[in-house]
Amino acid sequence: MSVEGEEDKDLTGMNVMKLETYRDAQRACEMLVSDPKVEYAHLIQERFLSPSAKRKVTRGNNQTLDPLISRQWGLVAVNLFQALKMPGFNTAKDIVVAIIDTGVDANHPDLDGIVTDEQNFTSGPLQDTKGHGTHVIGIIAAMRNNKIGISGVCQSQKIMSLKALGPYNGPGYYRAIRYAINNGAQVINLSLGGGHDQTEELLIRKAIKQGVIVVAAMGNEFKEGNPTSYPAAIDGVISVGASTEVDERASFSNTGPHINLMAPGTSILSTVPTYPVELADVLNYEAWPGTSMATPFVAATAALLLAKKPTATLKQVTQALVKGSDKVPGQTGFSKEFGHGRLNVKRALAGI
Amino acid sequence: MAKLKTVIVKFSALVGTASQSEKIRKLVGNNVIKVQQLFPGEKEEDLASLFEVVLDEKSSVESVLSTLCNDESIEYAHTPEERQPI
Repeated sequence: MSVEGEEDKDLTGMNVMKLETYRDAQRACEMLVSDPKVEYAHLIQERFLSPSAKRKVTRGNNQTLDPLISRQWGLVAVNLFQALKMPGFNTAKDIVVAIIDTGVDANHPDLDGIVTDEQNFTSGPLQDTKGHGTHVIGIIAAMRNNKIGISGVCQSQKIMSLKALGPYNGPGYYRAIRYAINNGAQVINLSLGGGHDQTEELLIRKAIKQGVIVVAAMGNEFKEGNPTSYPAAIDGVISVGASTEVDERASFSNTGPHINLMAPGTSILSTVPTYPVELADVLNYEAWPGTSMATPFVAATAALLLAKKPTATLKQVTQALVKGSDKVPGQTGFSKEFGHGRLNVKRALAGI
Repeated sequence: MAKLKTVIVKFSALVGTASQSEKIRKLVGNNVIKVQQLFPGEKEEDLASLFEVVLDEKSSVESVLSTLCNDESIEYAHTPEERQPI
């Protein structure tokens, strides 16, 4: 598309191209700028109606030296930086957080030394060949102030990465849940979902009965009929929907009576493997959407709550999370769309 | 490679691994490739009474599930639901 009818010489040569993906647009720019006839080519930057509509992460209001922190809008949205300043704030370095997912690139420099237990319950390699698990783990625990990349929410240094997806097999997944329970997981993050499964439910109930905090994603199929996704819909599981930068429900995020709260779930920057994988277009860091990305914000906050109060029960953790959440614009009470609101780490910590 | 099918069977109580494996084989018939406890060595009875049954590609899963679920000693039988990263 060109600028038609324009008389100003500087503007007549301007053209707008629309491509399918962000990555395609980046590649097109790279190719175009190498042409000597092209003066410049760039991606169109987002503009907002008012500065307050977009959350700002600046050196002034955060406390980290991580160079990509300015792209982590979710940390500001959940009030993490204010939480860090609370008297007696403890990181969750000794809290064991199990992530049942696609595995992890434990050699990622931002995850250096934090994965203390890595198990494979699939018939495939141990390596994270999709990148999903590495992304989730980065949101939870990427190292803060290491002058590399991003900052995770809770700084657990006891990450249990249990690969059960990619390729999936039911018995392997069940064994991963059992392994987490038997090996000291205090929080289990399940950024996964599907239809109801009796054996999964039996195991999740057992985990909950033993005091493990289980956090699961609501699902991303709102536009495909908004099906009830499990394990999120199992009683006692903390179920997480995805919110946007302006505190709306992400358009893909499933709704339902079992939702507990929302957390940031669009354009979430986190770690991806240092080698090419199925789901990532680039190496090291990438921004992804999904209730899968919202869930680890809550799982990590549950770990912070346990760090503050090691004897806290599931009920106390859940209450702190939901009562501490911020109502989103237009919300008055619990709703199937937003749950109790959007996660606020500082308020959750103050409530336990 | 032929695609094998998996069914999970839960007995109401654990009587004995060998005898319950044998019972599954008898109920399902020739299509069974493998029967094993889902959690070998498990101490908790409700988990110890779970069995993983691998069927050959010719099996009718619906028919196998129907047969298994009609047995009084079996609490439930199902195929594992697919789980995807979301």
